[in-house]
Amino acid sequence: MEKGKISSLQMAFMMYPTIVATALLGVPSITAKYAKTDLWLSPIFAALIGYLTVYIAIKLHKLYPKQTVIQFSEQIIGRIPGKILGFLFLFFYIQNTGLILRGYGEFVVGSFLVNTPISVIMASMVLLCAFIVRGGIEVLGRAAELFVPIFIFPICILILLLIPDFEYKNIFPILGDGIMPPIKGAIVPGGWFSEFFLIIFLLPFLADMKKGMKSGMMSVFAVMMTLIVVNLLVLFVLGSTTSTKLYPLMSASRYISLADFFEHVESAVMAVWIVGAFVKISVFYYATALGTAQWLNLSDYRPVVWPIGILIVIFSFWSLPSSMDVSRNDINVFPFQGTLMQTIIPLLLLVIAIVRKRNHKGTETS
Amino acid sequence: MRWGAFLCTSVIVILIILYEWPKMKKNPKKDKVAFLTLLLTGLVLAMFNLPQMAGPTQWMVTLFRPFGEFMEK
Repeated sequence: MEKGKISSLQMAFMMYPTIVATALLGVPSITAKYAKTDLWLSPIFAALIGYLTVYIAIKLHKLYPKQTVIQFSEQIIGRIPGKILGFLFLFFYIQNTGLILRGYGEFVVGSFLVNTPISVIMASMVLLCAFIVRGGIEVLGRAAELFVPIFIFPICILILLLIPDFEYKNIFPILGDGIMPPIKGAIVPGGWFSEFFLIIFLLPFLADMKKGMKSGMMSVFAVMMTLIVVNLLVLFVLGSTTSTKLYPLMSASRYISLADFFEHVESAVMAVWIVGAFVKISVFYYATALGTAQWLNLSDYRPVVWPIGILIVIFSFWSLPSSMDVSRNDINVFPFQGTLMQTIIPLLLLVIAIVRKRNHKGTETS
Repeated sequence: MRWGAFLCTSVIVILIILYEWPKMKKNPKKDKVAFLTLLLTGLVLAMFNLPQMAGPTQWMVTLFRPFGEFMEK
């Protein structure tokens, strides 16, 4: 179905913006709501979910190489339950791609293109993503390799330019209310880290499988470091008002003013962020299209790419009347739904698969 | 019923069929059926007033309500 091959480094480059792109924007303020001044500790706890998810995905992949979750769940729990689980996975990914797309649209419309209809912004993004998904995994991998440095470099520049505005004492008190607030703050980023399960759709096309585990773990570590640095940056600049800002990193970047020349860099931040969102939506879109084709046993995934694009746009509107509902969904539903679908269910699959393999071996030897 | 959205979706669906159909000549019948069914699903859904309609996202909110209440505290 997919004949392309990617390197493990390309996989890491694809996964990095898949988590970071949207986590940079809205998550620091959500974390700050629960963790107050300890928000920079939360990504460390949340990353545990990321490490666990990558470990589960790699173990599952080793038991069933050359297959994605849609295919091997049929072998693990039987044909009909496997199909039902596959449908749940596809449904989850279509729905969440819709939510990510809506989040992207709300951000662009809310902050910059105020008079543009949101459907135009979202449809143009889906159009672009559909072309890259049709191009196949190699195109996606190379695009990520090209765009991720463009995405990381300006964040480093942003940090350097903001150093004069830092208020280092904002970090105190550290753990003033004990360890619980940062752990509760870690629930929402934890949902983002569970998205690392998407590597299960990329692992079968890895040219150097041995490095898969290493680059997956490296990717989780890079995401964790980025989130810690961004949370610290936001905390140092905005202090206790972080939780009241919708997009704290954007608000922080408005503080930049260097020699009366370097001002209003937030538009550059947005441009860079759109690159990250593009890779993110493409990876989700690719997983959905490939999964759908495998679920229906099609000969190729390319024919379903365009129809799924329409479904993604539909899901980005469905029962979400306003941007309030989108952000409420990000806090109240997604962290639990994401962890359930992408960490707990795969863990159960892995346990069942290991038990079945062991029983199978036992009957063979006896 | 939102005619504007429905007409736009219809135009997009027709464009997709015109673009994709010639490339799918060699694919098995199953691919074509899946392609048209998914497009039709999208077209039918586009007829409704989606943002106000109860849908999967709404069901998930209901399903995860205990967790949502935990987060609101």
